Amino acid sequence: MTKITDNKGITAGTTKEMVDVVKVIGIGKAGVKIVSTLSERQGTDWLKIAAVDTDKSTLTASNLKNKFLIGEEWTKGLGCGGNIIKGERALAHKSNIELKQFINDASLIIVACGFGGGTATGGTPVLARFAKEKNIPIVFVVTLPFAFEGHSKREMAENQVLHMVRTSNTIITIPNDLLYSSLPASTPFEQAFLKANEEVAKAILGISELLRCNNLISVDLCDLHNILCRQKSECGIGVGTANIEDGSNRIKLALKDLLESPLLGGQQRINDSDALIVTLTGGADLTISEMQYALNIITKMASDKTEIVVGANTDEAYASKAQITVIPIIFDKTAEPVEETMITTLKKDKIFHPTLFKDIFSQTDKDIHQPDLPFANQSRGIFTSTTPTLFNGEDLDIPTFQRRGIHLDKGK
Amino acid sequence: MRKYKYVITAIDIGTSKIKAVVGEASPDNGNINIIGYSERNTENSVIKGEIADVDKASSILNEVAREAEKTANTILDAENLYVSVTGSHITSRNSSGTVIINSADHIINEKHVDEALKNAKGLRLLPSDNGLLNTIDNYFVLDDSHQVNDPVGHTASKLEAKTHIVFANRNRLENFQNLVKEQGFETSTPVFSGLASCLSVLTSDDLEHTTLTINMGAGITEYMIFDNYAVKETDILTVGCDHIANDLALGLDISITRARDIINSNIITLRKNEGHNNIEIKSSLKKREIPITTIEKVIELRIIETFEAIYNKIKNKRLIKQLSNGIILAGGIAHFPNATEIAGSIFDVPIRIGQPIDISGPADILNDPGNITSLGLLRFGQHELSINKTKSTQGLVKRIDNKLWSAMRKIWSSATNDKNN
Repeated sequence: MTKITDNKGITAGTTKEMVDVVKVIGIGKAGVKIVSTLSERQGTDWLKIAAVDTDKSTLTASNLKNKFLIGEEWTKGLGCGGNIIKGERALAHKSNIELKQFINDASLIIVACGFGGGTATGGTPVLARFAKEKNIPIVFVVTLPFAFEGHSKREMAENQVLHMVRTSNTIITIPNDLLYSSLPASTPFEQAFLKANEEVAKAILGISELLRCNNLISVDLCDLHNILCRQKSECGIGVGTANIEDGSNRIKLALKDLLESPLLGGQQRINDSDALIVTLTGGADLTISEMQYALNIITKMASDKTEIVVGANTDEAYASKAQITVIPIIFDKTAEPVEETMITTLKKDKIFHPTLFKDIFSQTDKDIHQPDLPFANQSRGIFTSTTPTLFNGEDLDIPTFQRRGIHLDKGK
Repeated sequence: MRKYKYVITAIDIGTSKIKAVVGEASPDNGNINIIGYSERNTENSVIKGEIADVDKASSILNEVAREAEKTANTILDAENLYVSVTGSHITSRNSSGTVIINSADHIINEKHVDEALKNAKGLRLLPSDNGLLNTIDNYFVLDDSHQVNDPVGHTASKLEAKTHIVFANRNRLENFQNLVKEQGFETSTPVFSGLASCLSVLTSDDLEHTTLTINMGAGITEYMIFDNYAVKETDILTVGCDHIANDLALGLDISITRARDIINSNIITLRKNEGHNNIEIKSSLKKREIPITTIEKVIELRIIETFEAIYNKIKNKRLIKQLSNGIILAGGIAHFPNATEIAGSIFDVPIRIGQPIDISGPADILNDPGNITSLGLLRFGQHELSINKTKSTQGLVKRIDNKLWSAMRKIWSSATNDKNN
């Protein structure tokens, strides 16, 4: 948490160099495609963009300047085939000095990737660690796989998201399924993906602008982090842009564009969201009435319970333009909050207790039963012959990683 | 052999090491001089803070005591010998005792205070197998309304003493005392090691404001919350740095000795500074390169879980929000570079590593966070000396005006009473 809230460091950097260095890294196939799309957009020259993958062909297809092929020694440049450990190892490997140097002088790192594969799913925690070591704030924009891509992929992605939230990372998760909600059913498949990449790219631009622009009503990374680190969440993202030349009321047009954003999930999702981050960016000609109008309409779309964080910025690059970025955040109510309670697998009332013996034997209550024996892969090592350390139904003598079901890279 | 006026000996029976520290103290000023030191590995005779193999532990303690005596070049004073006690059997309770002041002038005197404290200790309420380990006088309430730290001389018709009591299982407590007795020291004072670690690191400012001290040793973690010179909560969690070593051993398929080596040496930092990202493990057959990220992940997961467990264990969650002086880490956990950062992100308060106060001696002894308990035992002993001395010279002007000193003394006034009981 301390890393991100350390916003003073960022401002200090601004005065010294005058320009913040925002580095955008795309990991894995989806990530590389997103950053490639981003680099083709106008007004992104100030972003330093890099592509990272284990698959050579993805990188060849991209026309970015900074490309890092990782883990070449054992994947032979063919990707990790969905193996998380391979992805983690590839990023953690010492040969990635260039990549480390690339992120070294950044004042913000934005990582774009799609979870569900190997490189991105395994590699993001390593990247988070790099950034933490260097004290650089890092934001992850992650797409979650389509439902039709299969249950196992989805589960892998969700587990990793939960892990990232627990280790207090700022992670914006966008389910690909949101694309259905706004695109017409007849949209060509390829175009749907292009559109999705385009939208995520826009979102990244929107986030980087939080840092760069002259904040009139400030929304910064702390706001984003504060909301996202509470609980596992699913976000959408919508960006609407309009130019004054498009029509008389650019704000109205931008709002229309925003609501059509395929990854926003439509007006309904804004209404359903638990928290909403809204930023309005415009040139020096942005008037106060325009600002009021835009923010009013969005606030009205949200429900009474929605927590709304509003920001407004101006920037010269946006002269005669207006851009509205909305991030609706919906908490996963089934997941336990990260901040307040311990993450436990067993509920408290299921703790084995001697007084429950008679119930077990009489079997009057089907719910109460002796806990299952620990899985075969759980072991207590040097504590084998000691009294178990029971806490909230867990035996703390068993290694944490075993109880959490986390795979470890034991090296070779 | 040198003659010192007051020699205090601290014996810390920890899970990884048994230590003896000899200090020279004077009851008149706050400083303690370390004159002797000795430590030995417990070789698994102590598990999770409790003595598992009495014979082995006894012979190790014998060696330690003899060596400490040799290095200090003096005879250890059995009257001033303090032994640390910990284990999963430790429990605590806040309790109060009331006295009605019947005298004509209603002025509270020392006798009333003693009586109230005695009632507060409420020995009749104890479960039969529990023994009193330490009591801390928190504060006094006059006539149900007025809160004072020193009630003597006040006028009231009712005096209520609020104390915090730390209990231990009677048998296991005797285990610790018998171990010391076997070495020829007939009288030793048991001190809860969590309390001892608080004593050596808390400043008077910490005692006044809300502070949480977490002492995570090899086998067990103890914590105590101080608030306005009073102890609010005491508890233990039987998870320690040995759990981290065990996690590493099981997770990386290495021996427990190797895992402890990785933790105790600074090999991870060294390898990282050299630009490597792995640690080489050589066995007879082949060489293996274990990624540092894996090791860090295992350690991080365990530390996060332990701090989260402590967070959840603290009954009064309001106190966490009030931790104005933050958290002080002591014990082996302080060696882990990212422990303060993790604790900071979970509790959201400032974290620092405990530094012994007003103790002089070799820097390597003072700088080791693992010695904090032993140094706290010396501090405990010094306070007892001062209390005994003031009692024998009652009526004289109190020469002690050091702020910390008097604050600590207040907490200690009951310690001697326990001994007499």
